[in-house]
Amino acid sequence: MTTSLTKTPEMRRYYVRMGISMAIYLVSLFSADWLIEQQQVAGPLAYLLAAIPGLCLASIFWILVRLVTEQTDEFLRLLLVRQIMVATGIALTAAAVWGFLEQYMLVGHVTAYWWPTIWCFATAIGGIYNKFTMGTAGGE
Amino acid sequence: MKNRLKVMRAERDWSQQDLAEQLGVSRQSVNAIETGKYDPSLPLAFRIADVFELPIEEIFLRDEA
Repeated sequence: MTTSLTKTPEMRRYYVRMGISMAIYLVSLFSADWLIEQQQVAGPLAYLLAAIPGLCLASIFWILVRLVTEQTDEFLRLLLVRQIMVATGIALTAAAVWGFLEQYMLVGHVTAYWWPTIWCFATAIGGIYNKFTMGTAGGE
Repeated sequence: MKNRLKVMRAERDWSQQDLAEQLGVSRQSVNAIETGKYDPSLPLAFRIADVFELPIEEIFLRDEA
């Protein structure tokens, strides 16, 4: 998120939490990839292992909710919420449009984990939207 | 909602950063309020009034109907 005041406690906590979440994501992703491909795990454990990278997305939303609630600057909080809303709108709209295109066999299948990935990239568009409409994306 | 924040800040020779620090908000918040892009909450409006030692209605002006 492009919130300013990177020196503030809430932003420091945000970066620490995000770093931990990304580390778990990467470790679980490569572990699942390797262990399942090599058939080192099977059954319920394989399902659990395969689900962990996706469950990391839940932690990202939790981290964002914490940032929204911990942000003491009401204007920066507004920018953050707008950024999240723009990203959510873009990602869900893209998923819906692509889903219908797939339904009528006009396009190929897109694996579902790309939609939250698009959401993450779309937060940058949310920041640009804030810059143009509110004069700032939140950063200096 | 219109406000006289920029004029009153200039009268006191305060920068946006100076005012932001007194209010405990970001400089972007002060800029957004001054330019009318953002209307502050009532608690923040009261804090602004306290900093300038003026009633709220002397800082924030009603929109003409």
